[in-house]
Amino acid sequence: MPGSAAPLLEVASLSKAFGGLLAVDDLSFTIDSGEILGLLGPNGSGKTTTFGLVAGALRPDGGEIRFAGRPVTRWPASRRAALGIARTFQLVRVFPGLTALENVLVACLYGRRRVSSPARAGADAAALLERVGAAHKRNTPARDLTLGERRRLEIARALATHPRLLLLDEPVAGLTPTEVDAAVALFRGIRAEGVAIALVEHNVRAVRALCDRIVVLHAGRKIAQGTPEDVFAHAAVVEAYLGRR
Amino acid sequence: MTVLWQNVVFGALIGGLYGLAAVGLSLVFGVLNMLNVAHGELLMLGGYAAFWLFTLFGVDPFVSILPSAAALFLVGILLYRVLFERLVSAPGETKLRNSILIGFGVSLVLQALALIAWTADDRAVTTAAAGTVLPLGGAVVPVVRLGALVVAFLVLGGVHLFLRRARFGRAIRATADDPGAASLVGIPVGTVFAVAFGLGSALAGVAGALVSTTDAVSPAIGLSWTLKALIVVVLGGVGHIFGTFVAGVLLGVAESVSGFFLGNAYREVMGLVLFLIVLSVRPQGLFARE
Amino acid sequence: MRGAAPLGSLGVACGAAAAVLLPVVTANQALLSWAFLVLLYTALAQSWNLLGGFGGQVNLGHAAFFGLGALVTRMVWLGGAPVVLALAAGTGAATAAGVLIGAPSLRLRGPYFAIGTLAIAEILRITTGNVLPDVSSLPARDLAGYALTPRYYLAVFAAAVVTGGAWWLTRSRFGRGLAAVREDETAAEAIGVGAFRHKLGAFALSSGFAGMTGGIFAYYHVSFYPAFVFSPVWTFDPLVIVYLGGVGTVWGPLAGAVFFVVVQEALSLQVGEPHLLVFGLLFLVVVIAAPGGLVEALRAVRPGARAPAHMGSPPAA
Repeated sequence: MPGSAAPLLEVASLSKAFGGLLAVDDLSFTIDSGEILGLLGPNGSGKTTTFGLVAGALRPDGGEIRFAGRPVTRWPASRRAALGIARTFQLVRVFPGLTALENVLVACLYGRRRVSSPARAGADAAALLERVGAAHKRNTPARDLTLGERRRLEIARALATHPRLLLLDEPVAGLTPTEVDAAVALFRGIRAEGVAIALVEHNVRAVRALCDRIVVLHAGRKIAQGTPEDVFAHAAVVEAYLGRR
Repeated sequence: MTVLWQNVVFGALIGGLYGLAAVGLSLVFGVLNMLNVAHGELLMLGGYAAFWLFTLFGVDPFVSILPSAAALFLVGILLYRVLFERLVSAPGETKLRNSILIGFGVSLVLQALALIAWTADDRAVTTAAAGTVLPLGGAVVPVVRLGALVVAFLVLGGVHLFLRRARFGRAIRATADDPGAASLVGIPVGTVFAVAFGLGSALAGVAGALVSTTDAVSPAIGLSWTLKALIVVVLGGVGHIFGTFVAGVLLGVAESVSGFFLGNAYREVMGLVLFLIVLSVRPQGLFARE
Repeated sequence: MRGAAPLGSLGVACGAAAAVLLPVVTANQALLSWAFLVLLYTALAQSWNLLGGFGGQVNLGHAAFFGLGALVTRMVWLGGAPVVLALAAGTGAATAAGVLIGAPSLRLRGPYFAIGTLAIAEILRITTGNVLPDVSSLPARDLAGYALTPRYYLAVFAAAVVTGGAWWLTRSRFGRGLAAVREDETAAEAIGVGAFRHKLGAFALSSGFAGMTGGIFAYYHVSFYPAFVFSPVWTFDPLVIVYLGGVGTVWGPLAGAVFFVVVQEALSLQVGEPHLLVFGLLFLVVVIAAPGGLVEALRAVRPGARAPAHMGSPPAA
C-alpha cells in the first residue's frame, strides 16, 4: 500500500507575492484522501491564490507541493490534472463555444483516465451531466447556460478528469438554499467515492455540513485550523475572518 | 565614412515619417485597445489626396496636409461609427482580434477602391524644391525631406499639447486610462472614442501627404506602412508621443545603416528582426502600458 | 451523430468521385485549370484553418510555409528527383520550419502572435528575393512534357488530405483538446490539456500542409520569381477564403475556395480588379454579421441542423 500513510496533498512553506503584496505567506497544510478541507478567510486572504498554486496555474515563489508522493511544485497545470488535481474557478470558466456535452467530453478524453474511445467518453460525459442535473442542456452551447448551470457544468467537467483531489472555489455562491442542499449532497457523494475536496466557501451552512477540517487564512497566513466545531467556536475567528459577502 | 554619415542622415529623415505614422496607430491602440491594421491604407489615401491636389490644382503637399488631415479625420470617424464602434464593449482579447480582422477587411476594400479609382501606377509629387539640398557635416540634406521631418515633429508637438492642455485632450487621456471612470465623471466616452479614432486617421493623412513628397504612392503601399508603424509602436511603447517619434527615427537610422552594411535590399529586414527581438524579450509586447 | 450524416457522406463520396473523374470526362484544359485552382486554394485555406479556425491562432505568416514548401519542392524536383520525393521534401521542410518558428511565436499572445508571424514571413520574402533574384523557369525538356492532369491529381490529393485532417480534428482527442485550448487556455490546462503542445502540433500540421500545397504550386507553375511564393497574398487569400466559407468548419474552406475562384474568374476581365472589392466587403460582412460564413448560411437553409463551433463570438453585441 504505497502512500497510504502519507497525505494525498502536502503543502509546505508555500509563498507567492504579486508585486509587493504577499498573497500567500509561508503556508503549510495537508489533505488526506477522502477528506474535505475547508479553506476560510476574508476576501483577499489568499484562498484563490492557494488554489492557483496547487493546481499549477501559478508558480510559487517559495515552498513545496507534493501530490500523491510526487513533487509537483514545478509541474505545469496540465500534468497535475493528469495526476489527479481538478479545480473549478471562482469566476466560472467553461468553454463557451462548445456544447455542455463537449465541455465534459474533452475532460473525459484528457484528465487522469484519458478515455481513448470517443463512444465511451461520450457515455461517461452524458452520465456526468445527468449526475449534476444538466442532462437536458447537453446540446446547448455553454455560453448560453445560466450561471447556476455553468457552475454545475464546471463541476461535471472537473469530475470527468477522474480527480483524486477536487479544488472547489466558492461552488455554491449565488445559489438558492435548495440548490445549495443539492450541491452539498453532490459533494458528499463525490467524497464517498474517495475523492478529497478542498473547499473555498463563504456559505457557513455548506462549510459546516461538509468540512472535516478547516484552515483559516488571513493576509496569506494560516491563523487557525481544526474541526468546524473548534474553528466556529473560536468567536474571534468567526467575527474577524469569516467575512460576509 | 561620409557615405555612412549620409545613410544616418537619410535614415533619420525617413524615420521621422515612420514615427508620425506610428503615433496615429498608437493613439487608437492606446485609447480604444484596438489595432487598426488599415492604418497604412489610410496613409495611402492621404498620399493620394496630396498627389491629386498637387496635380490638379498645383497645391504644395506641405499645404495639403491640412485638407488631407481633415478628410482622413472624417474617414476615420465614418469607419469607427460604421465598423469599429460595435467592438467597444467586447472583452479585451476579442476586441483586439476582431479589430484586426475588421481592419484587414477595411484594408482590402480601400486597396481595391484605390486600384479602381487610380490604377496601380506609382504616383509621386515633384515640387520646385525637390532638387534643393543643404550641406550637413559632409552629407547632404534634401530640403523636402527635412521639411517633412520638421512638419512631422511640429504636428506631433501639436498633438502632444492638445492631449496635455486642451480640455478634450485631457478627456481623451482620461478615457484611455479608465473608460468606466471617465464616463462616471461625465466625459462623453462615445464621442471621445470616435474623435480619437478620427485623430489617429488624420495623423495617417498628414503622414501620407508628407510621404507623397519623397516616396511613391500606390494602392499597395499600405501593408508596408502598417508594418513600419507597428514596429515603431512596439519599439517605442504606447502613450509616449515623442518616445514613438524617437523610435521611428531610430528605426529609420537602423534600416539605413544596415542597408549600408548588408546591402540596400536588406534594410527592411533589419527593422523586422529588431521587432522580433523586442517581442521575444517581452512576449506581452511593449504595448503593455506601465 | 447528425441526422443528415448518411446524406452528407453520400455528398462527400459524389464530390470526391466527380473530382477524380473530371480529367477522364473532359479534356477542357480551362475547366481543369479552374478545378485545379479551386483544389489548391481549398488545400491552402484548409491548412490555415487547422490552426486559425480550429486552434484560434491567427497566423499572418502562412505564406512563409507555402513559400518554403514551394521553394524546396522546386529545387529538389528541378534537381532531378521524382516529384513525389520533392513534394515530401518540401512538406518536411515546411513542417520543420513550422515547429522551429511556431515554438517561439506561440509564446506571443493575441495580436503579437499575428504580427510576429507576419514579420517572419516578410523577412523570408525579402531575403529570398535578395538571395534568389532570378525568375525560376522550367527547362525546355520539362516544358515539352508538361501535362496538367498529374498536377490536378496532386491537388485533389492535397485537398482531400487536408480536409481529412480537418475532419479528424472535429472528432479526435487532439482536436477536442485543441478546441478547448481555443476556447479557454487556462481551463483547458486545468483538465489536463497541454495548451502549448496542442497549439504547436496544430502549427506544425498547418505549416506542413501549407508547404505541401506550395510544393504542388511549384510543380504546376511554369515560371515564377522565388520571392513571389512568399508574398503576403498566400496568407491573405486563404484567410479571406476561410472566413467567407466558414472559419473553424470542415467544409468552409472548400465552399470559400469555390466562391473565391468563381468570382475571381468572373470579374477578372474588369478593370481594376473589382473582385478584391467584393471579397473585402463580403469579408467585413462575415466578420461583423455572419461569423459562420457560407457554410452556416447554407446550413441555415436546412432546418434542425446544429450550428458548428466556430471561432470566438460574433463581435457585435
